[in-house]
Amino acid sequence: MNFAGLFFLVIAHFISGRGVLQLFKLRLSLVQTICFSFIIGVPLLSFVPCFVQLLKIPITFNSIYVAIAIFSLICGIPAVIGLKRPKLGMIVIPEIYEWPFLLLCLVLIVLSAWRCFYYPTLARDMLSGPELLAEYAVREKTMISSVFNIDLHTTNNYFKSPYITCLQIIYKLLVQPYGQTWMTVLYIPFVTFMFSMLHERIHPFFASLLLFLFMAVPDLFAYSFVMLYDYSNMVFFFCGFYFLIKHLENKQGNYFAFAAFLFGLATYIRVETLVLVGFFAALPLYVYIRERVPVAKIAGRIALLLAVPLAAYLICMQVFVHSFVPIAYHATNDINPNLGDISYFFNRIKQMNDVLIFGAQGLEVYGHFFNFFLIVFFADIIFALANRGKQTYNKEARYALFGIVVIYFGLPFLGYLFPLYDIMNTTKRGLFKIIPIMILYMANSGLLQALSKKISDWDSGVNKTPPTPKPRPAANVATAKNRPANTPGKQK
Amino acid sequence: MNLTKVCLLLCSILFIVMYFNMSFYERWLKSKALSDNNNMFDQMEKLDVDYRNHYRFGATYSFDKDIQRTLEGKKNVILLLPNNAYMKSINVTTLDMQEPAVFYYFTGINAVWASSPNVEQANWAVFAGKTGVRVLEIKSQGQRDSIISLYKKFAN
Repeated sequence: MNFAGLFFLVIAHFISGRGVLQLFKLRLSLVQTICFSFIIGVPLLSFVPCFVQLLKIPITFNSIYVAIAIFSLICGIPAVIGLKRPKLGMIVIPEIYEWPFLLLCLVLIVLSAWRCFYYPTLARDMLSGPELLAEYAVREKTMISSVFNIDLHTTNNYFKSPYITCLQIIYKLLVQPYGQTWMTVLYIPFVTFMFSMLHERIHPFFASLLLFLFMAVPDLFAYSFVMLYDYSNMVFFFCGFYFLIKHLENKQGNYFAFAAFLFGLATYIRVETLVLVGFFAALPLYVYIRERVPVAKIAGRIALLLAVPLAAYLICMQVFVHSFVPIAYHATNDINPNLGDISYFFNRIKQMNDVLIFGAQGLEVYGHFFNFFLIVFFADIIFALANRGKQTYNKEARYALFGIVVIYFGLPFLGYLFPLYDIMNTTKRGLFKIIPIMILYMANSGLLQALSKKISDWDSGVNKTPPTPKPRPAANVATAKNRPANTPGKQK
Repeated sequence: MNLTKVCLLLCSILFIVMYFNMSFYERWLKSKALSDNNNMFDQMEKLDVDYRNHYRFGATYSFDKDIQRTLEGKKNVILLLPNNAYMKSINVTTLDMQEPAVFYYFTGINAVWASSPNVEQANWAVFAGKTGVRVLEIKSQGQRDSIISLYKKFAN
């Protein structure tokens, strides 16, 4: 393993991601800024081999090395222009009760990083597609390699997004023969962001617990080191959804633009994400209409939300497939020819429930995660019924529920549109997208929020001795003596 | 450390114990996450790429490499491969017969299946019979047709 190459790439991911992040002028914490710089930097660098190929420069160690250096410096310019001394807050050491969860999470991270490095690519979809293209691009110094002269009638995986192909080319040349370590560069910042996001919302005990539940979903953990598109797609899709929610709360356009950008990256990784983004557009549309936002502004925003992923789709299908895959591709061939038969859609929902969510196969894939979610969800309903009149569902919880519903119905809809989108592979992994949204919901759950408050109150009550009351001017204090007769005393 | 923190620490430990006591997670932890086959410390001493390929792909990888050695130096090879259904029919279950694209990834040899559009161009074949599996050169159209028709019975 070439550690110098890995170090160079990690820095390059950070610089390019940091520069692009700067363009959006978001107000994020230092931890989240670092995390998102890495997260965005990963797909950004994947464009580099495409540029090298388009310029007809041979794909070699030197050319990729130089191209990445130039690309990172260009992307990093906004970060240099807007450079400010970072506000270093106090380093927060996790509480003692978080350590059991965090230690387990750390074990999972180490295992994932090791397996990512140690094992060769296994998935058939990769070996007959992106990994095959990357391996021969490295050997033959061009992305239009001898692969396209062999018998490819059993696969269409070479039509998939250049995201993995290009990252594999980079990492095979600069780091190690299997490539793949870019997955760890994405995985660690993402789980760190999840932890930071949970910490902002809920008591640290629940934040660590939810992070552990998230990381210990069996297949989600497995796909953090088994190379496929779905884990990355989940990361960018969830981040896009997260910033869309942030925008709906703070009404700032830059958060909306960033959400659209992240949805664009998610679509670049898996093109069918475009359909789900289309469904998600209903959320800002509903909120804008409710808030009586001018129609022109609504139209502009929704157009932006759809245009960026559409542009990503076109980059994949028009630029990549047309420029680098010398075989004709007709996307329409993949569409269900019998769209009038709606029963197929309902059948898909039934299959998803029976096989994946509540079936024995689902247990192997997701463990008891959906059961944990359902327990919290139904407990929340009971809690809300028991506290009628109080608002137990905050806005974020409601938005998260919307996200869950969209994915729950959106995936079977994709299966109905594209019959190749099967249950046991594509839908199974597509459901990864619902998991972080469920975690977000649980972090905003009325019941867990109330428990959080109770724990915090208990903690502060035990810790702090009540402050000695200072004598206050009699005129400002309604004492029992001077309180008006009809004013009730403070109830304890 | 105050009482709240101690209680929460106990709660987190209790949760983890209960979590991994659930039969599914216990099995997952032992067979997948921390299984002996995936022992990181053992693996650190075996970093050779060829070893790792053998470890991950098993007999199939050895089989591919054997074919690659057999055909080394031969030019313009188009190799006819049997598929898994055929191999199972002759009770060969240890080999996972790869599709042509995956075979090319491991060997750099252009291969076809009986169902491939360019199967007629095959000039070598992996012939699997009751006597074993061997690589043979196709010398006549009749020989090619007989192997193709045999494999086609099991084509996907």
